[in-house]
Amino acid sequence: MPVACLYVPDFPLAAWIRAQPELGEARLAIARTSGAQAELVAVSAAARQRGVLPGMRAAQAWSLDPSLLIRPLSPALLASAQAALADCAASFSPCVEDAGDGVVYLDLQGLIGTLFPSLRALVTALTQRAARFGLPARVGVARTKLAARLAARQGDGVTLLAPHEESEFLAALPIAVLQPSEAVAATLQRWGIATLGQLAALPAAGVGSRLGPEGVALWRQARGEDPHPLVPRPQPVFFEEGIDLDYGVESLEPFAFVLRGLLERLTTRLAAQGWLCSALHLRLRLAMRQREEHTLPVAWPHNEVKPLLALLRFHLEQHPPQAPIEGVVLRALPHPARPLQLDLFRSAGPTATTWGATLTQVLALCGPQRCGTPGVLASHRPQAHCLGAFDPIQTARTTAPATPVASFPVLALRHWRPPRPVEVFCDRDRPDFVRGEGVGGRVVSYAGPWRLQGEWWQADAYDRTYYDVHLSDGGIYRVYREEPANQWFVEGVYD
Amino acid sequence: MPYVELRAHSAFDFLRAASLPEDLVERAAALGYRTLALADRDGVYGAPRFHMAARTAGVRALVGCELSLHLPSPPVAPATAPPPLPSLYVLVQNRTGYRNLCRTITAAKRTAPKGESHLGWEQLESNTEGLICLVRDLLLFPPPAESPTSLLERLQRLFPGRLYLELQRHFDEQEERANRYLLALASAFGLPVVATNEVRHTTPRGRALLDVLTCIRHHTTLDDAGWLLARNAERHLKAPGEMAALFRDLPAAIHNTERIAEQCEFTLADLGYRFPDYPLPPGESAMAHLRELVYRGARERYRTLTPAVRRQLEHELQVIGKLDLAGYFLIVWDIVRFCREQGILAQGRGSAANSAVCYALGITAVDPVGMELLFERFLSEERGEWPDIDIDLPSGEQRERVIQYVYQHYGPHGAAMTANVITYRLRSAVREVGKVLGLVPEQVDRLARLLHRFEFRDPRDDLLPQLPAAGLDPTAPRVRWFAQCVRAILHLPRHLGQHSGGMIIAAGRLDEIVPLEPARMPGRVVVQWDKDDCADLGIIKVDLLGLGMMAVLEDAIPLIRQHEGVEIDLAHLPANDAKTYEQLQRADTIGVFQVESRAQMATLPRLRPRCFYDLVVEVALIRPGPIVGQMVHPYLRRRAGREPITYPHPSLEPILRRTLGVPLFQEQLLRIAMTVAGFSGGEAEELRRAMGFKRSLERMRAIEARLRQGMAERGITGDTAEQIVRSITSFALYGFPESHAASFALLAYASAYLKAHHPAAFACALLNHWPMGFYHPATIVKDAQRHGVRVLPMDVTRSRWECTLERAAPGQPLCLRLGLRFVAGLRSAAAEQLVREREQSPFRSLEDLVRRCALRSEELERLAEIGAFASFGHTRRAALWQVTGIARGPLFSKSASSAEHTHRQDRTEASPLADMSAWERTLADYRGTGLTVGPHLLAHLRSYLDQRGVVRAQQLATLANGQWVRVAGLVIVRQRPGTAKGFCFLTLEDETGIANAVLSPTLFDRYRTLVHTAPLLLAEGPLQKVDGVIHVRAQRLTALALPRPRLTQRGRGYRMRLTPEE
Repeated sequence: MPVACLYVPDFPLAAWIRAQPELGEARLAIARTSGAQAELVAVSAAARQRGVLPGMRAAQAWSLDPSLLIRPLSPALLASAQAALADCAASFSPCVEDAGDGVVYLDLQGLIGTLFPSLRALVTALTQRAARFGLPARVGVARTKLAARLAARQGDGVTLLAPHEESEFLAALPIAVLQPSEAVAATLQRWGIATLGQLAALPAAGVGSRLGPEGVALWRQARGEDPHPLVPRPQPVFFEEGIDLDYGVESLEPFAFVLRGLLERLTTRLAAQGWLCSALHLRLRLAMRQREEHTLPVAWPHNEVKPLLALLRFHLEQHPPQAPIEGVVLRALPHPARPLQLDLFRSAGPTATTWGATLTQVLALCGPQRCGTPGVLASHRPQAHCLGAFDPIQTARTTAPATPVASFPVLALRHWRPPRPVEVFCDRDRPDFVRGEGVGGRVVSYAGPWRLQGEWWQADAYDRTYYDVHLSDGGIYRVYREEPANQWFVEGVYD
Repeated sequence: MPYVELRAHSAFDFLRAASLPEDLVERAAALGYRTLALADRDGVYGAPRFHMAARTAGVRALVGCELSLHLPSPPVAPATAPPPLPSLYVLVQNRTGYRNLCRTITAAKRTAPKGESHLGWEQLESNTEGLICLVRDLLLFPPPAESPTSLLERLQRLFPGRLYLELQRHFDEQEERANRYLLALASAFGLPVVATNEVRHTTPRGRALLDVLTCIRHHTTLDDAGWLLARNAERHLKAPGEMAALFRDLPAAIHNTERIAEQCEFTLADLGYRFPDYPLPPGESAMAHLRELVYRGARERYRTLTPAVRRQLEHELQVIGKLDLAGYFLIVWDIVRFCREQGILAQGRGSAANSAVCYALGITAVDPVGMELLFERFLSEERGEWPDIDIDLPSGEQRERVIQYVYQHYGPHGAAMTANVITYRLRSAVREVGKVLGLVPEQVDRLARLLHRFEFRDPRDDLLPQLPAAGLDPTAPRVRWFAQCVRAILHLPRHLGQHSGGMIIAAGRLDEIVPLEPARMPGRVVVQWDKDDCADLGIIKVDLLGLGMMAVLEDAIPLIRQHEGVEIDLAHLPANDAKTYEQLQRADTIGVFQVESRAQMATLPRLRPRCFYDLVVEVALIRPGPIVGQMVHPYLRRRAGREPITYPHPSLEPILRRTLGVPLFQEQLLRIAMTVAGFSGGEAEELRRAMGFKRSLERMRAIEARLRQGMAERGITGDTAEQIVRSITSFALYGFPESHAASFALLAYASAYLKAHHPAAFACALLNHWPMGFYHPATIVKDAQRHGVRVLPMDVTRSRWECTLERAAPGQPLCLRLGLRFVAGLRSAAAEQLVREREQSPFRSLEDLVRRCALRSEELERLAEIGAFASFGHTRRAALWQVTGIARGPLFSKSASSAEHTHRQDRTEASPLADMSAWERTLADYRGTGLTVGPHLLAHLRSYLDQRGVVRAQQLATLANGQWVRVAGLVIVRQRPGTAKGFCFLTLEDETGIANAVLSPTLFDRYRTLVHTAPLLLAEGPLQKVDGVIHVRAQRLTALALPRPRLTQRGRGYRMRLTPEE
């Protein structure tokens, strides 16, 4: 059974170039993290020519090439590129294994002679489609997954290994290609074992007693044995594309540019397998560690980028993110291209609803910020509250322990929402007369001031001075002055 | 209406308040307060600084303390702010109260974890006399199973007539409800109320920092802190009138503040500290006993007591007698006597070496009469201060024995270590404040790394210029707050540590003078004050300082005796040993005390020391004082005969003759003042202090006027007077006492002597006491090899934990055997077991060793990799093959090493592995031990380096001045001294020796990252050779990459450890 391995060298680099094709010609390196001490994990050919190598620190690389572009490793980009690679393979064979890190395997059985005239024609088509997906893949074909992978990794385009060539090919490869664990790699290094051939030449029993099961597995692999069969991946339930942005995007126009790229890549992947987009789910990572998610149903499934982008733009105009966007993941729910057959005797309508389904509709109607279970926020900010997840089951509320002070009688305040602006005339910095809509009169007596100042590090810091005033109209009100605007409001009336 | 703030918390409340005691006092004085009470939690940490500042400002400083009660916390109501922890606030009325407070805190700290306090009601029972109690939160949030009524009944019993209910008004309506409740309780129990503002910061602006500190304390961020933060900024020090207005409806609450303040008569001026008495023979006075000991010692030291010696001793004894310090000298003598009896090297340093009495008592080792040192620098009648005697001891176990002796001698409550207040530095401030403000951790980390790590700082090292480099926008509001809070938190106390050697002792109980706390180190007790606080309050300190070099000397002497049959007496080393001085002159001083630094090495060939006094000068010359005062080059020029020796005034010639007309020592400054202005010894010392670190403009002006007047009276005016004043004022700041230099020079000479004559023993002792000094063991080993010492690798059949000396056979050269202590990851217990087993019966084979010693598999592999099993006939790889096979078998667990194996034939499996190459062996050595006895790392790269025209370090001496050269090596020292105007110095080591490279500030900026990170560097530039001092003025730096594997740097600064990455 021939197995093909689709392998993308310098996968982190390829993932970035797939998302930003203009980087393709740049002197580019990908670092594990950001900062001068970050280790480079992938380097473009142009950068290599300047002496920049993987494993260097960013600072060291910059000292060699000051204009080198360094991008951090992006989990979102890697996940998207990996999924795209698997989708590419799945558009050829139903039996595809996603091995991660820019590697997928596909079973070639039954494809040659039926769909493709020869093995070479098949692998050529495979690499061409991968390139359309934005991924410069290499292909290796061998009897086992391991040999196919190593052939793909070591070759420079398409490597087809005949069965009798495999052992000679493997023997010259370095141990690192088998990706041993750190401990075993260290032991092998201490032993001076550098190639698969050297490992294969060691006595099996000696290796087993010293390196344990992992050592035996490596030894067998070094001899070209691969006990792992190809494990097909399940059918994907959604398609995702994501990107981490270099800096926080604050306006819609540049963000729409990013969304367009994501949509184009998504729809290419959907179309390659005959799917249509039926809903979009937008996950935003914002500055200051905030996150936002938006779900947008698509009225009629399709793969047209322009209307999908318009839908996203409209939604974001209505619900602008709360902070600059630093990362985005766009998920598309697939829908079969062929529509379902409708019931001839009943009109199409919603299926039986459940609590969850109803809630989903309400959420879609009101927006996630306006639906849920209210809770008190741990903050001195007046009326600070939050909305948690909707919880239809009322949990038993714990009561506050009785403190001596709590036993003192208190008045209940009826809050006016929103607070009403009023004019307050002061005498020696104390409220003397209040005038406003629905409230007015001379201050007969008052309590206060009470000061609330907080969240000074935020743009919306609060600084309020409260008074409880008994007015000549007979009512007792809570009024406050907002600083630094020096505006007065009535917050509510005491019952 | 008069109001006294009875509750001001300072930053010594450790993350609970945001202002230093001095700032509180300054603000209080400005607001018109005449009395203020400090109220820190579970201690009186800030009280001395508060007291000293208050004394200067004319404010009466009361002592208060918030005592945490070890009671169950009240339950937390849902969706509300957490209640405060149970506590009582007490104010000290009198000395009895202070004594009770200190004892109570000490008892509460004794059993509590570090930073906490476990105070129960029973500990308060008998210790409340003299204390006034203010209670508030405890009544509002009573612990479970207690009621306010029961609490008040208990407190009334504990503080009869001294209990007040505390009212506070911070413009918080819930607080007002609490006040009404407290007033109702006060009325019901007939108790008085009192107003406080529970100050946590001096001004409203301090609230932001208070919130930040709160977050640091709770390990949270401002965004998540919620109710933990302050409701408003009202906990600042308010004017008395403002407080009176706040409580205008409760005048009694205000009035009672003054009433309480009047009842509190105690301040720290009334501490009641007394130095312990020395136990004397019956019928003898302390002075007579001291005199007897001094003369007995002097006869041993001097053999013949010349009139000059007698005169000096009598003078000193007279001063000691007048100041009633005989007991103090006897106690220090007693500590030194203990050291002598126990065979522990001990040597006084600092100004004590100016005293002939100290010399006679054996406290110091420098003859002040012979060296004409000035006694007044140490002690004078005018100053009326306690003398300061620092004793250097071998670091480690020996020093600990001396400390434990003092504890035992003066009791667990009679002696303690002084504290060391750990304050926020720029890097720690950036990290903690950044975390609190929720900045991206990577950015904060990068910023912290970008900030200076060298002594020298340029404007680019400051916070603001580095913000953009770390990816932070300086204009963003949150980043602006970040910068502001970092600046505000700098120098605020973070927590309390232990001083390295300062001990204080008291007559009676020290825990009645200052609260004591257990230190993290077992058997140690620490006071709540640092050494400056103790000195300010007149508490006597004896510094028992650990000195690595003393430990080295102490260990080297028996090694020399045992292996070379030579008896070394440090007190009687050959005075002018030519070999030693030749070695010093060519700066061959790696490992030599005080003169091994890069700067010292660069000076030695120019100064060319020929006698002991030259060494004293050498030690003192490379110090901030002479460097900042620009004395170094004039001295060296005069010494080389390139500049005439002149004196500011003829009368100064006797004083400055020895240092060629250039003032180098503090004693010279004192003598100049005495000669030209007629100052007494005490006045001269007063002058030095006025100009010294704690400069006061007022004091400086007054004493300078006296100096000028004195000079004018002696006819010294005009330029000469100005020149003298200038040299005194510029030098006093950083001057170095001659006596101190002489003490250090003794150790420097002794270590240089041992290095010259007994290099194997010296290197062995140095390695055994590492970490110490400037250099990594790898450098020490290579240096020893260059000095002809054969260094043997680690061997499980020969090596002990420590390095040892051995001879292959009698008459063979002495070799240094490396100890197992350098094997990375090897446990000392495992190594000791190995040695024990070996001593019981030698190992027959590797398998025998594995079976008998409980070594972990990674330890065995490490030993195999470094070649420690070579004696069994295995190559490194063969040994690796063997031990990996043996260690993984279940048969060789400890339980199975029984009879069935004892008589079993050891089996040896042939190794299929190829042997290591020389390069692999070197890397394995570095990886496994951080050093190698084989070829230097650079030796393997030499052909590559030769192709690129890189010269060896040794060759530099043969090249011409100004020639363009390339040198390469391991970076063993990186320095950017504060006095070098931004220049950076690198020391590179190759297989032939060391080479020095200098980087200008501009080039340092360009290569900043390389300098910080690269373990191997290639430097090129013109060679500079002046007076035998050789530097490469580096114009270009390149990181030298190893073929494979790469090397990374571990550790900081010049101490580095090399480990391959792959």
